[in-house]
Amino acid sequence: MDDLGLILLASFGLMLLLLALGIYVGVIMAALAVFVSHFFSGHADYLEAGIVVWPMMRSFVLVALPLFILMGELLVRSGVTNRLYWALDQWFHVLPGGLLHTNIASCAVFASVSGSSVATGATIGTVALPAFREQRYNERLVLGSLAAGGTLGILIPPSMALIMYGLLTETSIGQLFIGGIVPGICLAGLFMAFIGAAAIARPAIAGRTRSSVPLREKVFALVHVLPVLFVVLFVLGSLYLGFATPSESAALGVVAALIVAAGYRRLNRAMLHQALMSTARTLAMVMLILMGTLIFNFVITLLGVPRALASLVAAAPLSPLGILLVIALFYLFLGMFMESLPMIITTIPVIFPVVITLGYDPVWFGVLLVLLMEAALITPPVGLNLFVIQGVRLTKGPMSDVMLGSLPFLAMMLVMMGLIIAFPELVLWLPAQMIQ
Amino acid sequence: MGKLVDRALRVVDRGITLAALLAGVLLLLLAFLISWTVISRKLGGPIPPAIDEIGGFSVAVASAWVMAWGLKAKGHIRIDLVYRRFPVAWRGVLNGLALTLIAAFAVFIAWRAWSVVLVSAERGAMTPSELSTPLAWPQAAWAVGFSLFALYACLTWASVLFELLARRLESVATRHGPDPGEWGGELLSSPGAMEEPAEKT
Repeated sequence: MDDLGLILLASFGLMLLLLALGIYVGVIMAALAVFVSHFFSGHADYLEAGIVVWPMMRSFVLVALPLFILMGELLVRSGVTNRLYWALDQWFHVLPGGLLHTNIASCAVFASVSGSSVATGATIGTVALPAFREQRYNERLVLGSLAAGGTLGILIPPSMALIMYGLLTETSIGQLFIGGIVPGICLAGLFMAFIGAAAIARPAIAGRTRSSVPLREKVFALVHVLPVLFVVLFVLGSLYLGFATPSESAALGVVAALIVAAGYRRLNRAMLHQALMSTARTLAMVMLILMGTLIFNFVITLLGVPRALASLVAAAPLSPLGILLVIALFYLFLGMFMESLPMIITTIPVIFPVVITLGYDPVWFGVLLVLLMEAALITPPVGLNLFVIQGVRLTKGPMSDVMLGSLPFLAMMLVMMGLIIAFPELVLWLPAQMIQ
Repeated sequence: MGKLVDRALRVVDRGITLAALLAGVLLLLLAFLISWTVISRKLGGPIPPAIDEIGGFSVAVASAWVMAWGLKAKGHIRIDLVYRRFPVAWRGVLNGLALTLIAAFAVFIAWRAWSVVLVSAERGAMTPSELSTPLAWPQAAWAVGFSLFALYACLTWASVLFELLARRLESVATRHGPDPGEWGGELLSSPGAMEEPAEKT
């Protein structure tokens, strides 16, 4: 393909220009499809849009997306998070670093019922920040731990990012979900290890440690973790035991979330209305970008662009690992400007064939990609979770507090990426044990 | 003319909000139906037919029906990194441009969706499941959603065009910018979510 370089450069250039002008991301992708059709293919391939979009939108695999969104919206409104935070605090505040550990642990637990990093950061952030009002903690680390902890939302299943990745690459979403569990726990562990080490090295950052609560009370506090565990059991349990597909487990999750909300006496018409309208909004957001990308992908696939790019990269004088690092750098760069979900949807059709040609495992790459997205979520200037935490912050102060506080956690994410590149089993072992 | 557009917009506005709510209710019902299927399958009870098909169609239709609401509630993503550095008059024009393109896209996708419906109807295509649904029916519901999206996007575009022609750039800049406002963020849309203080006993 002679035009390969030109097509990619022209499309990427036009995309950046339209992004800068503030055009809707999904519409940009459709505009690129028209552009490439017009200048490179010579016939109007984009007119097949209806035929291209319909089969994807009606696929049963996609059912998981709106239902997991709805489940998260219901749980956020169910009143489960305040009690969860308090219960986990009974266990974690004795560690050096105190409440900072509670932040990470709450984020990790909430991530297991939420598929969104923004929702996880905002939900736990709103509950956690009042707890710091009377205590002396390093504010930057408090904000950073919440921004970074929130990103666990898309790594620990369910995950909207992994659903879109699985849908676009025809990788098993069940395997992707299960593959995210061990890295998710490891990353939360790394965050806590950093907090612990920092608190031991400089005790001033974490205020004073309270005396321990009797074990009986600690165990009793766990009652408030049960609702979340109940939902996790429904969702991941049914998935792991081969009892349900991801779409089916999402449906079970919605019912479980309704039961939890009813148990907390939060289930009423107003709450349901809000949850449904908010779900509709997020669904529209994802669908517009998905549609635009599908049309663009269809046009460039007819031209043979992804295949040509993959064989070109495979023939390049770089080792597979070298190319992987280039791809990682590309995502870290792009992540400064774009949000995680749009970034995954718009780039995967082009990048995925390259990665597979290099011989990497699709499930493993999906998880690595999500780690890169997490980094993007806390890299300025457009780190969505930085804005989220700044938005729910109770004290006044510059945005740079959140950014600086997130930096050590960003470093931990890079360590985690190194770990799964060095030990792919961290991702691949658990899915291999799944009951099919 | 501008007043006529605004009046039409108010009517359509109510329609698209209702459409989004209906889509949400459809998803909720779907969750119950699928849960019933999963549990019933395990326990050996009666199972509704072709749940894959019903689920897929429901989500396709719901997705189309929420598109206009996504525009109204500022769900559709725009990158404002560079945008917000422009002076206010420029931002008004850029919002006009963004709306022009999304309206064009909405009309395009509605048009292409109806062509899919027509092809299915002409061929009399049926789904291969035990339901044998004529494919044109769910596709028509899907295309109706996109048509609503097109209608709402075009009316919004026209209303903004009149404002721009009247040189009310500032109003366009603030009202139609990417700032998500009351529906901002996935959580800010839930003011009642955290009203209770943490139970610290």
